Amino acid sequence: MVSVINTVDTAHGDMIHDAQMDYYGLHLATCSSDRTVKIFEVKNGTQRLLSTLQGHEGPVWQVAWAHPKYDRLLASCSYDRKVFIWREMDGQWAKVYEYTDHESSVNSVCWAPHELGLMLVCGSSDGGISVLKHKGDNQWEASKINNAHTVGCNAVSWAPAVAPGSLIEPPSAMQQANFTKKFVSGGCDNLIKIWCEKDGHWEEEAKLESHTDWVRDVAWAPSIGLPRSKIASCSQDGRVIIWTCDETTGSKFLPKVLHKFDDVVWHVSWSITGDILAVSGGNNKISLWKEGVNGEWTRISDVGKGQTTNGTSE
Amino acid sequence: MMRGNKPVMINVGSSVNALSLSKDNSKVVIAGRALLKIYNVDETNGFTEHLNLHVGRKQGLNMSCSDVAWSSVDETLVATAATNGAVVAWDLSAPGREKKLAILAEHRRTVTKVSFHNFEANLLISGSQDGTMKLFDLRKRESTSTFQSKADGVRSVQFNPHEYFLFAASFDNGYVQIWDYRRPTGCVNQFIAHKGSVYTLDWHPDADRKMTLATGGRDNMVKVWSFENNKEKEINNVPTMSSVSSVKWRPHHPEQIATVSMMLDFSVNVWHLGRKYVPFAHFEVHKDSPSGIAWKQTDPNYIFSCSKDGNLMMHAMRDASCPADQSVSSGLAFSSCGFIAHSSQTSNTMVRAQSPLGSSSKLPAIFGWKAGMKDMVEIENLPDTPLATAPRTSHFLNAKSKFRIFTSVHYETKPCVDFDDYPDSTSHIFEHMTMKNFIFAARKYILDGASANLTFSELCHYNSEVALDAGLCNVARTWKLLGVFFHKDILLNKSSTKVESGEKLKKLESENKRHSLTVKKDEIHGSQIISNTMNDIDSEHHSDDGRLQIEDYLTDIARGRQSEPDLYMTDDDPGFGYGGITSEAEFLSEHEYSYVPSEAFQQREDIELDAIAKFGHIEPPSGINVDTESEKRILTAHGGRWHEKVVPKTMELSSSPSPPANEDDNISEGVINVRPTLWPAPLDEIKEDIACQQLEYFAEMNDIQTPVVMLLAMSSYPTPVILPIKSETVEHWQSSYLDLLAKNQLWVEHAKVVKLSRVPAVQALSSSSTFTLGCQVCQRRLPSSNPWSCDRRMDGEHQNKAVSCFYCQLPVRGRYTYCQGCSFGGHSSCMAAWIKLCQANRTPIVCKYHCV
Repeated sequence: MVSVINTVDTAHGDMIHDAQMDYYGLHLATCSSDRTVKIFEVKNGTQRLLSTLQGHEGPVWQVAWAHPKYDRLLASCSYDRKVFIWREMDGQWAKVYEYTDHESSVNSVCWAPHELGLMLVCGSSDGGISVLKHKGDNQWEASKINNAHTVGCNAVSWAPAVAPGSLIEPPSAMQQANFTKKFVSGGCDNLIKIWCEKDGHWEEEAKLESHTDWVRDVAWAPSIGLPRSKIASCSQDGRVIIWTCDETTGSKFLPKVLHKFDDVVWHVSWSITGDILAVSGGNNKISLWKEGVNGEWTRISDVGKGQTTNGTSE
Repeated sequence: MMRGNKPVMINVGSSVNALSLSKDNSKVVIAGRALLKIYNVDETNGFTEHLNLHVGRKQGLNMSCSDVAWSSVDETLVATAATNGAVVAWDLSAPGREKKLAILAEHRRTVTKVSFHNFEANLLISGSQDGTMKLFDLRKRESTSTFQSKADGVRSVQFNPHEYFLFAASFDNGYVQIWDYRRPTGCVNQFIAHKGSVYTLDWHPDADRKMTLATGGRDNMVKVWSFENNKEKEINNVPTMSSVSSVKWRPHHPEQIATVSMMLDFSVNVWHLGRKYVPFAHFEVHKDSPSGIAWKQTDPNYIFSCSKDGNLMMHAMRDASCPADQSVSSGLAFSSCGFIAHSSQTSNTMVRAQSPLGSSSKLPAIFGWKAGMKDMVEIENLPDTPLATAPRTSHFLNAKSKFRIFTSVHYETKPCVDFDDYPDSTSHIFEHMTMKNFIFAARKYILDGASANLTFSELCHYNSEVALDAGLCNVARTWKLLGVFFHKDILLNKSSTKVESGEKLKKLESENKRHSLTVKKDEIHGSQIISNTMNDIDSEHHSDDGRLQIEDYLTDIARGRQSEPDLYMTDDDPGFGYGGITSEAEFLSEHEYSYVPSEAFQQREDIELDAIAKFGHIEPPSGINVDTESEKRILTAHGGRWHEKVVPKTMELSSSPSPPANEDDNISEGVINVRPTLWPAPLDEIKEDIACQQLEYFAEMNDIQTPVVMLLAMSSYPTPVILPIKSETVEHWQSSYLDLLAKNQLWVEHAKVVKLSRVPAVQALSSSSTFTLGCQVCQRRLPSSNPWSCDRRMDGEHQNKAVSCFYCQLPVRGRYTYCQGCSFGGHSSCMAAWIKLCQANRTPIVCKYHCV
């Protein structure tokens, strides 16, 4: 068994707030309070700093990679109320777009599934959510949902674009209409909301109430296998909740508390196959959870310090 | 993101330009364009008006205040700066309205700043847009010195609180000058402090940092300077978010400094020099730009601010929002390669001890690579974070992130092997996470058996071996099962099918003939009905062709032990008729299901539970070993020992078609003997369901590879079997699988799946052919009228750069052959030549992503 292969300084001057792997898992973007975004190449157990993106005037909260079919695009959002879109050309990263329409810190960015086109959703402390749609030639059209969450929106995540019934229609531009355009957001009002685009407008489709403190992160699981929607949410109240929705529940999301942690839970993240959930909370803990056939969630691993778990016992 | 109580506040009704606190901090004076008021401050009562110095309507321009200062020595002394260049001194002790002590109209342009000497009540200094500073002695009621900056308009001026003769001034052109007021001829020191105007400066209030100066400017920076031997040195800086209009050190907190901004940002921020990127405290209550701030000197837990929106406020530090507290302190990412990247806040006091607060390199974030679960566990031994107990400031300062990437399986280690000491399920999960098996299997699976000239059972056998090599035992079993189920249906080519079916037809006919020898004609009819009913049940085989196949299959399975119609007929009462046969079949199948699945599923007992449950309880048949070895034998031998055992019996039965015995015997005999002979019939009906359930089970377990690959393999032959799975589901599976392949950069496999797919939406992927070409130089879209060259091609640089062949470097007109992965390509002929060349030289084809 191999131990630590390498230890490298990210050279971030302050706390790291987010880290994202690109589509292929070969590049890593980290963002920090030190106003920079750093791009690393991760290959065979080594990592190499490729680029440091400067331009934000406040802590950078989150980064998001676009699908590689749109080239190497990265979105970042910051305390400075701005959303930047960066693009790599011949190894050089440059800012290609700047969105400044939020009145407070922008806390979360997420790219839409590539089937929907190049689209970005941003959630801000001003309570609003913006959806930026690429119109070609680096023109972006923004539509804003005001007061999506009172006091602020902390996290956004897109639903996978499943295309039911695309067989009936010949593959054409018509097919676009078959994709579900949906995303989920979580905010300081302790609520989780699901938004759906109808006739070019974003409408609140569902409001999920269960958390008792700020919702810190939401993550819509990749849909593989079954046409079932799964959303993980975590909150300041220490709870991680899995919301599921399928035909049997009548398109209503039903909550299931995965676990109540002692500390705030910052992030939830799904594996690409959507069956393992990584949860990271206060005190440096990451735990991995897997859903069994019976729908029960089992803690399969605990990384970092914290109480030892009863492992895989069922 | 504001939490906490509302500040003590009052709206004075008009824009406030400046504020200043009295010596004992009990009163505050505010000044504006037509405003000069003194308020009493009390935390319980808030602000109450004490005195209005702006009385009467015609006050003139002398009263349009841009700044105000209250002497820190004399309670009664206030000075205001006017936009017309006058400095007005006020004596608050004077009775009645005549509080104006002196009007010092000496500057030619707006006075931007006035400042009292910290020890000499009568000394007042002013700075003006005219580029001069003037020192006034209020006893003389005129300036005693004029300091020619020779720079630009003065933005700020302030006496050093500890060095009696020193003052600092800042200018619009970015300069800061240090003067000794005894030497009006020239400054002691001057330096460029900021890009653009230096709006504000503040000497450090602490005696031990008496030569420390903070400046703030248009360039959004706060800079901290120290002076040694009159030489300035930048010792720290805080990059704020917008131009800094005012800075104020927090008394008794030597590392903290408050700032307000000139525009865009209406908040009051308190920064800590130990962590300069995130405000330590943040007040966001003003509706317009704050114009002035002042710390309550007697209790620096309070800060006053005034704003252009007319608000005067006193904020308590305890009410401040702390962006650092609210920020997410950890990052988490699941990579498609199965790694987990995680950053988390660490507070290692050792690190902090080594690094005096300050520059960026002092707060390292560690980027570690972890391999193996053992290491992941070891991390639990890290020292505990004393976050909960640490006071707020140290918590704030301990902003370091530890960055780690976890993986479970090292690249070189074989999966499954190293995890013996871990529970099986866990190791399985980690294999799953790294997707090593997925990639291995995706690479090795043969999907298109027909083009590889493999029969279906060969293909299944091969793929099963692949799955075994990848450690996917269940998948391997399912492959074998598929081979057993469908190897008669899925044939290598159609022509052979015809020949075989022809032969089988003959065989069937001969058998039928034989039947006709022993049984009556309507019973032959009955046999046809059986196959017909089976066709009805089997929704996939409506065509005559399919029916033939089924019949072939049945006869084939029964080969060597006669066909089951034979058995039916011989065992049945001749007069039973149509209804009797079907009901008999139903009875038998009902009866048999409790046995049949137990045989058919024996080899997959651990995963097929739910499927089996549908068919009833399981009775593990005696005499059959459950271990893998014997399973294999049974499976590969197709039919296995069990068949061999029963076949003789059947032979016996059919070869000696005894006349119908009495009913009792028949039943008991039937149960025992009919079972083996009949099992293909119900299996035939259920095998597709079983296969579907099995595939759906895999899909539910998030193994999308298995169902997709199996479906493709089954449909890739000239005589495909299409399982009754909803086409939407198949499409969804396939697109999910393609996405996974793409994530793992398995382009060849990706292309194979697209090629073999029968789902239109997936097939369309290979024909998505609209590409816009862009100029390599200017990135602009090429005109459709002239699609091989940029419309700025006259510029030398753009020439020939548009779409050039990598091989001959000439622009490509017409067909452009390229790699879909990286758009590397050129003329078709050149590409062909290139690939030939590469193959001849046995060199890998050079392509950016090694797609080809």
